[in-house]
Amino acid sequence: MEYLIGIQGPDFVLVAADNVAASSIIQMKHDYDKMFKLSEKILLLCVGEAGDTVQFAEYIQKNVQLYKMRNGYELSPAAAANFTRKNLADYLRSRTPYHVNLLLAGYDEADGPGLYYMDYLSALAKAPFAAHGYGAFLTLRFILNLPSFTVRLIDKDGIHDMERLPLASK
Amino acid sequence: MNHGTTTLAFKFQHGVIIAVFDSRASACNYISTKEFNKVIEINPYLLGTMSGSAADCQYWEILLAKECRLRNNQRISVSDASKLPSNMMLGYRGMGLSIGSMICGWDKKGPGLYYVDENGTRLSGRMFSTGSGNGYAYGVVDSGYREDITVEEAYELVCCGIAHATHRDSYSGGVVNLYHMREDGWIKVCKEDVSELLHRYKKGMF
Repeated sequence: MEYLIGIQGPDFVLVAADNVAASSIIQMKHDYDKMFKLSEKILLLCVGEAGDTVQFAEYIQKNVQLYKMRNGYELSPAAAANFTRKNLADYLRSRTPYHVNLLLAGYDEADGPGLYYMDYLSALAKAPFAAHGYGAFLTLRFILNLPSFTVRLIDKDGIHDMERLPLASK
Repeated sequence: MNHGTTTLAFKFQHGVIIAVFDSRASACNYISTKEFNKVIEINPYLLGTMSGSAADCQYWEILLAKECRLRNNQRISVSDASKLPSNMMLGYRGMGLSIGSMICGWDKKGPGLYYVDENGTRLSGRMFSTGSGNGYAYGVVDSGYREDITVEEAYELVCCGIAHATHRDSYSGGVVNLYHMREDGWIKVCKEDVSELLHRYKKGMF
């Protein structure tokens, strides 16, 4: 299944997501990027129901960018996380709830690195490390059959792509 | 999972795309049309395939064709042409639409292939197959695909994939409609009956 993980360090947040886009038993894409760049120093990682993930994440992404255009400065990671939670909560009891699980990772000039865990019921928690998916139960020791992961690091200089992790082939 | 058809498209060596589909339209156990055209020719550089509910696909893709008319004094890009139905689907979430479509085209960025479905999923990729016969088609094409495949070999491979899928999938059948998307637009390569193809590919099996 889909997998997200985030770890907060003293002055950075490291996040990784698997690269599979699946439709029931068929793997439609094996190089799919599940991270959405909300701003220069904020990433939103999104998994869940097909369609909902991209639509909800892009909606948040565009609104965060709109805030910057209107006000001249960016939303902080904490503000972006709470904004996301509010939207998810508002849709939860509507006719069309979004079934998405999120990790929001960001670096704030004043507060430093932050990692926020959010689930489809719009529970929000700031945590030093977090994960979504079956892998979350095995965060210390993984046995996953996901072939590759996209890894990114956020620190005071912004978002950096790390080398994509392939699992060693047998 | 969509039902009632098999469609297949992939990008290959020279960056061009081939889209193939079968033509059976079924209403439960009854075949309502043997020669239904499951592709919409949006413009000379854009094609959309249909699988799932025939009515939904036709309606929404013709609506898409209308939206794809000249915007900003230039032809619409494949990325935009696939984002439009994806966003339209968002508005109808949970209402039971059933559409599995591939938008193929050639624009300024080169060849483009997107898979769009009724959940609002939109994926860009090198190869997709949709419909109830998609698993069979994936299997055949995945094993026969090479990076340096020639045009004739690609036509054969794609017909082989569709023929095997329609052989095993009761909801697919009829004729294979083969289109080839090139830099100067699409061409309709041929229209072959599936039973003829099966005789070619499965000699000795029956």
